Amino acid sequence: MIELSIEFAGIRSINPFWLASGPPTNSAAQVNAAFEAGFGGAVWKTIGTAVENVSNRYSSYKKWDRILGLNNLELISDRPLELNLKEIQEVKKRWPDRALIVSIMEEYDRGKWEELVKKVEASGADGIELNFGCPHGMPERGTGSKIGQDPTLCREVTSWVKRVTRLPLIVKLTPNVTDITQTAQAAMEGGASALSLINTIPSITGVDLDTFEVLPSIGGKSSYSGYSGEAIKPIALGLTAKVASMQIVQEKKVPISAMGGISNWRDSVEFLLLGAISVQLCSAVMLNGFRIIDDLLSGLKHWMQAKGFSSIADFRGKSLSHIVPFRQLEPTFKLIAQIDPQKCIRCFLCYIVCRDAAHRCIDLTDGKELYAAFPPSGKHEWMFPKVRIEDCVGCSLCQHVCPVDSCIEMITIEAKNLAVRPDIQKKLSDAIGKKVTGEVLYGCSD
Amino acid sequence: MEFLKESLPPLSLSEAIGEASRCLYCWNPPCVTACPTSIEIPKFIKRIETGDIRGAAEVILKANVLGGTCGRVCPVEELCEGACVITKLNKPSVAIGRLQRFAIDHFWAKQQPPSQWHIQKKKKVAIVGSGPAGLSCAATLAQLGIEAVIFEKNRLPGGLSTYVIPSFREPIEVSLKEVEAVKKLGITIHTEKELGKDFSLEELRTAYDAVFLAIGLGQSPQLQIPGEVYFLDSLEFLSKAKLEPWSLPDANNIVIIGLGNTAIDCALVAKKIAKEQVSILYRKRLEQSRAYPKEIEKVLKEAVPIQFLTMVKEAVVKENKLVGLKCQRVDPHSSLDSAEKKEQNGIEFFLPAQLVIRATGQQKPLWITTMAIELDNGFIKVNEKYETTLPRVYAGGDCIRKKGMFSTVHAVEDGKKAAFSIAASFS
Repeated sequence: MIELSIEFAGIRSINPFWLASGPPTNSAAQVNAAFEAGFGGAVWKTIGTAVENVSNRYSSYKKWDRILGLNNLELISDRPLELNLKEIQEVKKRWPDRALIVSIMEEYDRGKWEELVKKVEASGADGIELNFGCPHGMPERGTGSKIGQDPTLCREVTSWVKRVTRLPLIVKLTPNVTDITQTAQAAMEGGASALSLINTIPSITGVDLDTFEVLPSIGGKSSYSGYSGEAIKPIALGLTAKVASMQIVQEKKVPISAMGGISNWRDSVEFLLLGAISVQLCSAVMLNGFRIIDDLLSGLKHWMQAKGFSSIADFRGKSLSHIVPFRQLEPTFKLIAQIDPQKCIRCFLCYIVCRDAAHRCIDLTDGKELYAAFPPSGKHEWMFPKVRIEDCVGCSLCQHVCPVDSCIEMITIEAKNLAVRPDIQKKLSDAIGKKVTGEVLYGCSD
Repeated sequence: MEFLKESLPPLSLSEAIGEASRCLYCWNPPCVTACPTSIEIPKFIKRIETGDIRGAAEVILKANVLGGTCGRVCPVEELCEGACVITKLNKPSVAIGRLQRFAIDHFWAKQQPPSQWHIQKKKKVAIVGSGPAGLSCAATLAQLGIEAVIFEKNRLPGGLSTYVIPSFREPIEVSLKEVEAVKKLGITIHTEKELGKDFSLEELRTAYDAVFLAIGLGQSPQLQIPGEVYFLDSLEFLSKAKLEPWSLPDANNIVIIGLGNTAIDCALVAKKIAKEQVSILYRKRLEQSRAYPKEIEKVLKEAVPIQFLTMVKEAVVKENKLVGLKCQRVDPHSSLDSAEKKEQNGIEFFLPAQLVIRATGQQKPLWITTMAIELDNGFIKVNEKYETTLPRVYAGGDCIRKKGMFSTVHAVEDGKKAAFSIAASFS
């Protein structure tokens, strides 16, 4: 029996999939539809200080017809505050088993924050998310990522809110800082019950080569906008792991809600494995609609079944221990590339990248004896890319460019056979404080 | 008329970029090796992908001045696309031909043709024939700074591209546009000037520093059967269909004799004008046909019946009009040499036909036998430098192609290589 429900800072949710604060959570109609589709929770689009939006608000970063990243200049909710609060109340009443969190943002004014928090609390919402991450428009007004980038402000504003509410308080962090652990630390010192990350990344998606306008162009002008979608997933994963690995987070078991480029169940599982309890989606829904929840639930459930996990807690944070400082990486661990002649289609991409950008250890050799049946005639048909084992450093660039599934495999070799240069050996042994013996045979962990 | 339109629509920019993005950008790619003119295919495809269409066209034109024609008429399945490594992943090959056509069409539509090259006029080369081999030779010579003058026997230049390749493959405008592009390099083309009639080879040899013969091949050989005078030659039929379709007779039944690539073109064109039926008669078996399999597929898709192992014995003419053919089944076990052919005594039958097209291969340039040029099995004999046995006389294109594929792209490569040889002989 697979149990997908979670408890996040005291908030219960039937599954870990929440809608992130953004255009899909702008109204009761949308959140109701998302819950009907099966989402476990939603963070209501940020309410607070009055704003006026512009059009158009989005641009995208595309590779051919595929959207890799989405960019937005959308501000917080521009609907009347009272209407939002009324709808939040209605939605919560209708969906008691779902997590309904309200994202809020105010200007740097204690009174305004306190007033807003009280109104939200009265709406019956399960929790509050402080939007300290919005990178566009709002920082100019002294809020959004302006607060999130400054640990002192972050701590202060969190504590203002904490004093006037008993609701779980989630601080949403901006990735646009040098060290996210400092703002995470400040948020917790200010009284945050949980953390969510990451907000969008300030960016420019493109420039029109005909008009020279920057995208999205709003009447010929543009501004730095917030980048999201698949392209930012690696950044979000890295920052999630970083925050989840903080000592204080580990000790106090601070819940983390992760987001940033989550498009499918696989992405979600990765974030859960790196310490998140819930995952939030926005861009993926903006590009596909609420229906994707079906596939998220199916994929997660079947993966858990296959791995023998019965609850999210069974595997949450399981991959964190695999992250260590660089100096603790084993220098004698050695892989080399191996090319399967039966699978090779002779595009020679491995050869050319190794020659031009790596360690020049792939030769084009006569492959006659490698083929059971000799391939039809042709100028290069007889050639075969072959790895010179003694020169391969196992960088794996060849494997990454190879267009054929499992044609190039990185295989482990016996470390004792390696001739480690004495000067490097000395440096390594100094660095890790032990003698490099190179006598261990390293294999796969599972 | 419907068949005057190109059957394969052009790619849109978005389609072209999408298709281009499928190219793996192989190193030392087999598509380039398979291209007779060695166009750097992955390079031009990558340029399309990034919207550098002019750059893409430059890559193509550097290797093949008739890139627009070849993008349309090349047997790509047999050449570049057939070699594409993506097919080894059980995926369709990159549509190299269509991408090439896209790049060249865009180049013409959006850009000015390249300006005239600096031609030194120290040396002059006469080129006989303005088909792909002649044009390619002239353009390459111009690029090397050598003056070239083309003599063309027809009213329009361009050779088979202008006259014979059906419009659904290549509209005449494409061929003439390429001729114009070559002319802009500083090349003069004298039309309606025929070798052996308006001037002699000796005259050319005297007046020019070198001569390049790109005279192609002649009409199909006669079948030596009664009433053959009523048949139309395949080249004549295709040329009429392309240039003056109104002049073709009004026919209910059209019969094509032969099953080569030209016969298939004839059948596809005939299908557009026949009121009732088009059929093909072929005296051999399917597997003996030299037509490309993809082309045979096309006629089958058009529901053109092919009668294999069938010979035409004579034309049946009534009141001075062709009404049909007397045909005969061929013994499948006979070896079909000419002696045995005449002695066939299989079942005879009558096939109604108002128009019969003879597409039984092209004749070698017979008139050349009267000149002092050595031939090889009827074709002009050349060495690896494209030199004939006559000093300073070169030849290329179909008139030298003893074996292998008869294709525009091969002729283009002949012209290009011959031009390099000619230029080298001047230095």
